[in-house]
Amino acid sequence: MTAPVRREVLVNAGPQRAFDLFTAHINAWWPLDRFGVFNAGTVSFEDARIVERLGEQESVWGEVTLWAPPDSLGFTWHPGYGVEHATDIRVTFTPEGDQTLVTLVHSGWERMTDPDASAEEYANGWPGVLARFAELVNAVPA
Amino acid sequence: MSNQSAERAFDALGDPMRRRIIERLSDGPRPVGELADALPIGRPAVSKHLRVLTNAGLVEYTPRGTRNLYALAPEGQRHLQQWLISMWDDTLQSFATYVDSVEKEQP
Repeated sequence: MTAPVRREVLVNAGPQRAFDLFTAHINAWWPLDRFGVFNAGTVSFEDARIVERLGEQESVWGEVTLWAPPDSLGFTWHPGYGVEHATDIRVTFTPEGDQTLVTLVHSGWERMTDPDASAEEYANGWPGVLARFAELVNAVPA
Repeated sequence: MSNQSAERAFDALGDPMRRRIIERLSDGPRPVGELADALPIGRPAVSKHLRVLTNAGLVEYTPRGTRNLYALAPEGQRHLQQWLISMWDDTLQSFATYVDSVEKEQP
């Protein structure tokens, strides 16, 4: 079983504000040029989904599974590949004085393994990279 | 580890047959012939894929008599894990920078 990836960052705002900026303003901070399916256009939380758009094109990165402001946010994660291989992301917002500790945990790698997965599922760019990463780490015995 | 070697590893894994080889090797080291028997491609094709995987740092081999025994390279996985971690670090740092910029604009 592959261990979750856990990363943290301290931001200069309270939890509610950090939660709002993380979600409602994702397009302002997400480095779409480096990490995206189209690497251009926009990304936003639309209803309960995270959607990247470029012109007529649309890529659903994931579905919101937990919406509990200001403490936590959860969503599935499958940018550029099938929902059946979605991994899970949980983001928590913990007050640290005037600041907020944002913790992101990326788990659920076991669902990425599928020997019959077609090549089409592995889109170009980083989503495919994630999928390939997961497939590899699942293949390596602990 | 450079970004380049992670990229080489990801590129190598972009091919479905090479992913099948990685999966086979996860059960343990194998010679080329045994891999070819288990896959719908011939021995020369398997050798070619193994060369790509070896150059990408994902597979390593040890000579056993007249043949080579292929196995997963433990470092290969570490490189990819580091890439994923740096991806989230970049993204979260970008978020922190954005929070700073908007909070400073507030009166």
